[in-house]
Amino acid sequence: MKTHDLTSLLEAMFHQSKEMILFVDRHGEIVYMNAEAEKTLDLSDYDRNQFINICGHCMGMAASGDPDCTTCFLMSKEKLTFQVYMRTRYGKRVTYIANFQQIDPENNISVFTLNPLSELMKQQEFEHQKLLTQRIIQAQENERKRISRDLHDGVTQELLNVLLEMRLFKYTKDREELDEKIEDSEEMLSHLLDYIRNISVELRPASLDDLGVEAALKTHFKWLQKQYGILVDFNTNLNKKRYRPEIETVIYRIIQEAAFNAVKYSGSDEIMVNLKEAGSYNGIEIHFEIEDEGAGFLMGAEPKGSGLGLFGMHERISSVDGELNIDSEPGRGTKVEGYIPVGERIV
Amino acid sequence: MNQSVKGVLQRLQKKHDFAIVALTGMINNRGNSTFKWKYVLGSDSQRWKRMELRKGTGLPGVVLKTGKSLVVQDVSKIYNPEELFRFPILYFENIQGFVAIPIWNNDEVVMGLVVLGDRAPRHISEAEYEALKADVEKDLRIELLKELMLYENT
Ligand SMILES: Nc1ncnc2c1ncn2[C@@H]1O[C@H](COP(=O)(O)OP(=O)(O)OP(=O)(O)O)[C@@H](O)[C@H]1O
Ligand SMILES: [Mg+2]
Repeated sequence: MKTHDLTSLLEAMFHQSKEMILFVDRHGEIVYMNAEAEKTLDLSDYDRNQFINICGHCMGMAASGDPDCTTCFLMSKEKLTFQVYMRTRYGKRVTYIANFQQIDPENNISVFTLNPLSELMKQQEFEHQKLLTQRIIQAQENERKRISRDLHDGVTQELLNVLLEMRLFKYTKDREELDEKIEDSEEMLSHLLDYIRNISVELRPASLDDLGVEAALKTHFKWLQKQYGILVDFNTNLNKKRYRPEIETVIYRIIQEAAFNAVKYSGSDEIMVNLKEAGSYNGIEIHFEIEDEGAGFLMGAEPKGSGLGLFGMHERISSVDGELNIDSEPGRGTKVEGYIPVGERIV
Repeated sequence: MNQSVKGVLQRLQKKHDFAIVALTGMINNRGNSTFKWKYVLGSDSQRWKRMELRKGTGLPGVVLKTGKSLVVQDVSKIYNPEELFRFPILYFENIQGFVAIPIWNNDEVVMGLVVLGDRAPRHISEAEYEALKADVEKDLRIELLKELMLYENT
């Protein structure tokens, strides 16, 4: 075990560490500091033979910038973790997460370590992004599973049934019986047609490209009503107007997601949807509103599903320079509203 | 006459102590690819009245595919919320345990489906299920057939 000398290892750690490590006495005089601290702090008038005080670099713990030295960490004998501002080279003020711990009570020496907050945040953001990516991949996978199951259960099975039925045609001598079998197959095929139409509309309605967002939404709401028994009170003044395809897609998908959330979570029987074009001083804008008077929810609470819907809505709206606002309150209901600048219409 | 089918449903609900009882309309009427819930007792939502059911989907789809009854004592053990959404009647009425029984006509074609459910998981013994099934056979099926004959004669 003891093949290495602890002192030399500690020294290597001290000098190679990417966090600033300083040893200070109780007056704040710096006894030692590591390379990272030397590199970061402003040491322009540092005399290597003299002690230098940490207070010359410290800008206190308050965001206001006024250091309040009556609560200075130097007084502490316990281990402390806190946020502190430091002056770095070129006089920049940087936020650090600091640890302060007395290690030698006899000589009153403490160790002071500093990690820049922005680095930590970057790390956290990175982790968050990674998590989000994983969830998006998972959601895509689930979607594929669902479509594949729909195809398998509905389409493949039904086709197989028709096939088996049709195989019997040539062995059926009795004309009346044959007619009945043909009629049965016909019916199965027409169900199948309906079924496939439903799947493809769910994926991306052809009417969105052919007839525009208003028509596509109307069809979608009719479907919601049949499927889930929900009533959608849809008000619009779009009047078959057309916009750039990416804008129409964003509107359709956001309204679809918000309405679907209301169906799934609000518990309310009715949803209000407004979709209006309006002029403003910087051109034409589209405003939309999806509202329910149901259960509501707390922003930032654990989502009941994957939680990617709201995220996707924000992503989509920013892709067309629009803005989105979600307003919800438990017991009162939920309102999603937004606007998109459309520049010009397409005629 | 509807009253008597409804009456049978009410009796079933009471006798076997279920919070909710749902019966579909005719499943196999020619030329119609969709059907609806005919009665839902024990619901205070109006949604089921608007829902259109389609052969091969939802709870009726599952039961029709096999032609067999379905007994689920604890829904949450079988479906996660995402999957449950494929069965709107279970999802919206918050049914946690249920029995679904297909009803056959005299030509051995399924004509409807009855669902008896609770809003909490429910233990259903073999004997309970048999008794329930017998009542559906004996009362509900007969009453439904009667109603159908009346339709056909008018
Ligand atoms: N209209 C609403 N009424 C009540 N709760 C809502 C409503 N809309 C959203 N929520 C709550 O906000 C959460 C986040 O919604 P979001 O659309 O981001 O995710 P999700 O619907 O759970 O999953 P996904 O959309 O990815 O399938 C939901 O899980 C739900 O708890
Ligand atoms: Mg959602």
